[in-house]
Amino acid sequence: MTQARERDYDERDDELSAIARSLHREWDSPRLWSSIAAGILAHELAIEAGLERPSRAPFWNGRWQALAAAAVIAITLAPTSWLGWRWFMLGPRPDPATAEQRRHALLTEDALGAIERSEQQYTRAIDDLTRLAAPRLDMPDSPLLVNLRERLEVIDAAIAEYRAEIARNRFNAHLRQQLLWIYQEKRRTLEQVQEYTPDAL
Amino acid sequence: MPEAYYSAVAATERSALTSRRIPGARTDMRRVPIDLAAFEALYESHGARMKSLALNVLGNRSDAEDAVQETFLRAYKNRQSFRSDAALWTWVYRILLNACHDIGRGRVARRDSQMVGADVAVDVPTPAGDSPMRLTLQRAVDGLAPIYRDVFLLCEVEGYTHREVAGILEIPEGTSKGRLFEARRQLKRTLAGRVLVEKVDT
Repeated sequence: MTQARERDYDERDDELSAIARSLHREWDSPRLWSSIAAGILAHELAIEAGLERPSRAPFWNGRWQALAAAAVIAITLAPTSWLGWRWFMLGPRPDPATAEQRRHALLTEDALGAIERSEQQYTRAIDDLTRLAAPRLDMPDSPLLVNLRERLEVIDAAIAEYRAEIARNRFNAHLRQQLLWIYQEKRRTLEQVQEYTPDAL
Repeated sequence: MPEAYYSAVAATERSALTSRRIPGARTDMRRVPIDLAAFEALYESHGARMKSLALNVLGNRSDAEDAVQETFLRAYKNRQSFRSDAALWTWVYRILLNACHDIGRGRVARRDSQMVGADVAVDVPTPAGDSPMRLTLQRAVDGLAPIYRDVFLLCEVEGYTHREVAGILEIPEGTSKGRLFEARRQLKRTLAGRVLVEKVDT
């Protein structure tokens, strides 16, 4: 390679690095973290309400854990299978009413505490979104905005109703699940408000 | 009663969250419990670069923000599988690149299912500072194979070291250097060709 070609090659190298750095872009996304936090908290609430399963560490993470797990299974399997067989053959048939009762089991105090904490975080994230959407809600009327505003009023009324119900019956998982869905609806509506632009009609 | 209760819980939660917040751009989060506050700290320190990286992979801000949001959700849902011997941010960047590739694949599939010949409008931001060379490089980077493009974007655009890139991509440092060399070689060849064509055109 001649000296001139080498120089040309180095110059192109420097030029490439300089232009590459200009590809870095930054811009404000004021509601991005709120959306992320709302999504995470919705996931937490869904787990608490039994709608989603929490992910666990891979079972075969380490050889020792796998061996220990296999040993525990081997030790517990024999007596439990014998007990299960005995219960099935000799014990009473499961009462459908008992199963139904178990399905509607009330929340325990610990679970309730965890749910209420998650709800608080979720509510805060929704409140942040509400604050961000407020200027847009004050914009001059358009059919879409009026519709979204009305929907938010209905949602807020429903939230107030459910909160009042929950205050009377704090351990009711079904009510809390309903409240979660309503909050998710509110989040979606607020996101629509944020995405609204006057020339979108 | 509920309102007073909620505000009391909110105050406790807020103080708990702020006490665990970690300042600093390159925070090592190995000893921090991976909860919402840890992810918020990560977003504060790395969010801007994550968005930039996603923008350069996907080509528009909306998809880039979707990718970052998806990344944090995936990371949070799978935080149990995070190995504590690695840094949280490198793990999250790996998820980000996977999310970008997934979104990119989805976009290609959507484009394929649309009418033949119909172009998909891509919202490439074109601020006043866009130079022809910059746009040319952007197109050339888009044409790179993902393994070279990812290393180029992380090293040259976002300024990460080969050691950090190796941590993100789970490859040896030497491989990172080799991929960057190859990426630069391909880009220089493409750019040299384009510049020559532009000179001939003018």
